Amino acid sequence: MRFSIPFILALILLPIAHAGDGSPSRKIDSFIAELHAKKGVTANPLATDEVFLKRIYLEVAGRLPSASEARSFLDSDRPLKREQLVDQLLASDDYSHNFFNYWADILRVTVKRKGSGGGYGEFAGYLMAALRENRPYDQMVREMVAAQGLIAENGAAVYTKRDFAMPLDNLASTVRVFLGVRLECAQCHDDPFGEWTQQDFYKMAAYSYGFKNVSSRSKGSIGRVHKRLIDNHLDPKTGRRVGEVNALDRTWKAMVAPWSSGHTTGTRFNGGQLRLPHDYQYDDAKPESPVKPKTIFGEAPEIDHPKKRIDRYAEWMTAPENPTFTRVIVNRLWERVFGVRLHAISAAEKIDDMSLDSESLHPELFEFLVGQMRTHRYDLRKFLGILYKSKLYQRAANTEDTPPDIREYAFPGPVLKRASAEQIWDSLVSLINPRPNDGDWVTRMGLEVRLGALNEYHHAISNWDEDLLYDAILRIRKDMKAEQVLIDARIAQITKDHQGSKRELGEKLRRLKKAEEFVGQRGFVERHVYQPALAAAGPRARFSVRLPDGRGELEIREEWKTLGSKPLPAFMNHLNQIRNEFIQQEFKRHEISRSNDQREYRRYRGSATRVYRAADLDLPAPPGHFMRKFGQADRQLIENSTREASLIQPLALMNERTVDLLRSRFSPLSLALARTAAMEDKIETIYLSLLARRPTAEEWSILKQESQQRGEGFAQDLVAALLNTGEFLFVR
Amino acid sequence: MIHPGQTKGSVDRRRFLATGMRSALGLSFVPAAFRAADLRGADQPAVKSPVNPKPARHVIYLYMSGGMTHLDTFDPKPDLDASMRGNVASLATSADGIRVSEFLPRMAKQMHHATVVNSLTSTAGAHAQGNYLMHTSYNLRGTIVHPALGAWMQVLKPADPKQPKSDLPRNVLVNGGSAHPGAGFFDARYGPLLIGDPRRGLADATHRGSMDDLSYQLDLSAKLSADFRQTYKHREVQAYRDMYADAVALMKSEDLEVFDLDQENAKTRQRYGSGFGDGCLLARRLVERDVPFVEVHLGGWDTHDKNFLKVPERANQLDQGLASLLEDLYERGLLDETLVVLATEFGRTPRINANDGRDHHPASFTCLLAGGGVKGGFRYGRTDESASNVIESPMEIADFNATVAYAAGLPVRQIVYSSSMRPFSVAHKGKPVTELFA
Repeated sequence: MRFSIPFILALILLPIAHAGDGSPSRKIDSFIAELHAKKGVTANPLATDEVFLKRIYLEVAGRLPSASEARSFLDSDRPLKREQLVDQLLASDDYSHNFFNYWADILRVTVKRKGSGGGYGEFAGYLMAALRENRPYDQMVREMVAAQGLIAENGAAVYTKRDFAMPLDNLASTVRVFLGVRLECAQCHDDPFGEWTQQDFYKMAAYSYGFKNVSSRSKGSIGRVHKRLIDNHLDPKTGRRVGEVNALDRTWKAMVAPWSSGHTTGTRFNGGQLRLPHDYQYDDAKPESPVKPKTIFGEAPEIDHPKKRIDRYAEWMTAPENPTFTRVIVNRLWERVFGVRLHAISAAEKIDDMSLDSESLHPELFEFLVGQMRTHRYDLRKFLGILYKSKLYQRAANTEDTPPDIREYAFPGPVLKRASAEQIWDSLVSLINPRPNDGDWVTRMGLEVRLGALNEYHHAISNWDEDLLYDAILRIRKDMKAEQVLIDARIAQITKDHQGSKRELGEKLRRLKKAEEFVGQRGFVERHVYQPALAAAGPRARFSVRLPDGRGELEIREEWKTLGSKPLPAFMNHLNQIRNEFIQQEFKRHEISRSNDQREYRRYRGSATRVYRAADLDLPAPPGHFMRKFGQADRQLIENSTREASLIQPLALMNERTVDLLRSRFSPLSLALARTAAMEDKIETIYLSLLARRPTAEEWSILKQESQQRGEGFAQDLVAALLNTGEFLFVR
Repeated sequence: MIHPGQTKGSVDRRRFLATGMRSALGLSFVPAAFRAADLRGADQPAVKSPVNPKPARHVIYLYMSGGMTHLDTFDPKPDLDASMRGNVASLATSADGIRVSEFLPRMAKQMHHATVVNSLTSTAGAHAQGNYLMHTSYNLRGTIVHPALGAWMQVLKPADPKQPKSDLPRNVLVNGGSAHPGAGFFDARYGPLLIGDPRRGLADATHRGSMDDLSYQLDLSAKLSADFRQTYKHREVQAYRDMYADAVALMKSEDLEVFDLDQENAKTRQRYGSGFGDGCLLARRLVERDVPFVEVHLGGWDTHDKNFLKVPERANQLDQGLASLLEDLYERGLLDETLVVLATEFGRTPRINANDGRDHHPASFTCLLAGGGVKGGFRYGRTDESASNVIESPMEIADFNATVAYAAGLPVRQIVYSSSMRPFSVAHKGKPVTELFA
């Protein structure tokens, strides 16, 4: 088992929560006991350690425990081992992965890691970082709702940017997710079933209306220099753009080109005023009249300045006194842990439909939890710890479906549920990939270095003297002109020497021209702008990027920085060295010493380390991916994932190539099996790896008989058999 | 577990309640808070469903997700001011008096096969709600998921026992999003088989190891999970058992080749085009093998911005796929027995917004029916001069779905109970518009 340094630190620093008498967890239990007594319901018996182990790993770490993790828990006789495991998992990086997937479904996070544009990996990066450092929930919501700036510098800005053309839809989603109020119907008309009018909707939307797209090109001094260049070179007689203006414009664009891709766009809140729609049909206001902001409930915030409106709005939304903000997150997490919402009309209702007239199944408990959330200042790990350490969570799961009408539901124990697509996938990944938590770290680090370098250059140039920048661009233009003479000469030479068709020649010249101009401009930009601007900026703060799992940070050296889309070879060499260290460690750990085996292992590893955990893949995973088959959301709508059975799921578990990797003799599972010779030990390891338990007595009698008949191949049979059981797929 | 094939039928409601739902319906549980009010619909006397003398055997349901602009496709207004028309021209078609937009040149030659319904109208103007309503005829509710048409079709029209048994699923969804209501409250096995990329066919239908080993492993799996299955009586736990049986049958089936588009010649592949066209081609192949319901999605219609850049590209895919499908089904003599439906959640505003886009417009929009006994070259309903409002024969979504159900020979008035004992029917309260049938 490997521990990351932050993880070990967290273990040392976290007070191991004794959920003793008087603790919040015990308080939950006494409320629930009251509820049981009142409803005449008998609580489910306490779950066995095995059941608890599998449940807590899947629900907190988002994956099954490894065989050794399972053994160490099951064989321990420490009295507080369940509570300690809760703390340990909540402090782990696995927690961040698992809850990233959870929030990504709610916040519709999409990421395209390769290819150009619209990837929004910055948002995923923001969310993951916030979860890793356990940023308080209210702070996260404020950061997203009111985010401004370039998305390269503030990934949270994607929250509004991605709904750019649809600010009203963005508002409806925000209110639904964080305040539990469904306003979307009132977007177009008074809601006939709910309490909201279209006027209410527009008054609410008036707060967050006024985001504008920005890109760093037009920002600050860089933009002013551009304007000066254009204005000073217009034709003096006609005031029109002439050839020289266009050439200067191109030169300027070449300078900003490295950050003019999607990475440097962003949003800015300009405090614009919302107007009613042209077809507004009610008598209380005229169509297209301006809307004065007013919150749908609670005390409306004072707006000191239109540009600050978004901040005041976000503060209002996330204030402890907001009527629903805290209740929604409490209800959300309660449902996540116990399977049925505490404040609700129906189990099947979506969590974010907290109509004001719905009731709590236990109002005092609910208010107690709301108080806990506030007391712990929206620390989600701490709050979840309270729920996970309750007796209620440690009970056996219900053995029947939850009734659709839950008004009489009394929480006899947690609800049985199929593991999410991501949890099933991540469980498989940790049985296939020798370093499951690393993700595509080579690509990630390359990108981070480039973005870091871009930020550095951009910062330096933005803060450079405007006159110097202006002159520098003229100097680039001058050098380009001189260069042009050389290019022309070469073109003449090539034309003279060319034998063949005219079309071929034209093609040849076009390519040459393009390449030379590009290289020339890049070089001149480097010489006249980047280097002097960087020199003027003085010594820079060094930046570092995160190394793979448990290895801390890598400080980025000068010679590794690049503005190109590919990392420099020197940097790649360094990463290859790290990778080789990993491989050598694995050779040692698994006693792979013969060169043939080593070669084969490297080949296996090449495929297996590309089987990334859910949070490290494109989001959503491409259609047809294992997770999409198991109901991963398409991220078009809020909470759009499903856990329904479908025919393609058994097909995937029986036949998918990825699942097939499990059978390789070098998969972590196979390597663990190879360590023991006796079939009984192998059987035990397989059970622990796939079901987090040892076989029961009845199972042993079946297993012994079958393994004698089938011989050595039985281990593989058993892996396939258990992978295709309900017990593997469900969290009980 | 409730068996949706078992319906109220002629069982008198009082007797039905008296004999106990458990025995009558094989219920495995009765909700704790069962309320008589949930049975409202059952108080009504059994209404006979209209009988379609020549029902279609198959439905190919093409869904334009995001809200297809009606003005720029099947409800063009040549005389409308360019500020709303957006300079989109229209074409005369093979059907008298019916025009389509210039983005649909191939469909212009096929309109004599189709009935275009220009008068759909709804109040569901958000994607989730509109999509759900179109697929189920019910409003999106937090408390229940209603089945989509493909699931209803299996429940109300089970496989003919006289026909040779097929291992192919009877409900297929190509390129659908995860928001599809699928089987709804029916057993998961009535839900659609999902095909992500039609070019890649049915993923993972072949086992890499030996089939003998696999059947041994699955037997072992069943033995080892007996206890789990006995303990947990959840609907989903049981659903997985059914899924495994179906999956193994499918893997062994000779019918699997139906998913292999490479068996079609290059000319056919080209005719249909790639992407959406591949989905249409797969639908035709499935229909040839008697699969009753195939749904194919084409997304990207949510053109809030750059409507006039995005629509031509979308419409081109639709045009090629749909026109080829109609022509091909006709040439093969399959069009009479196959209903082709073109549906979407809502139309888009005639007004063009600041981003050169069109916004959601549920008040009036257009769907299309072809084959399966509906009239060819027929237009139903009409919108005003700017396509903003319906001015003739408005059709609600439920009526449209009832018409589709009627075309497929489904009893539209038949009531089926969900596990919470609430009564539902295939198109809610929709009435079929029989005027559309030849």
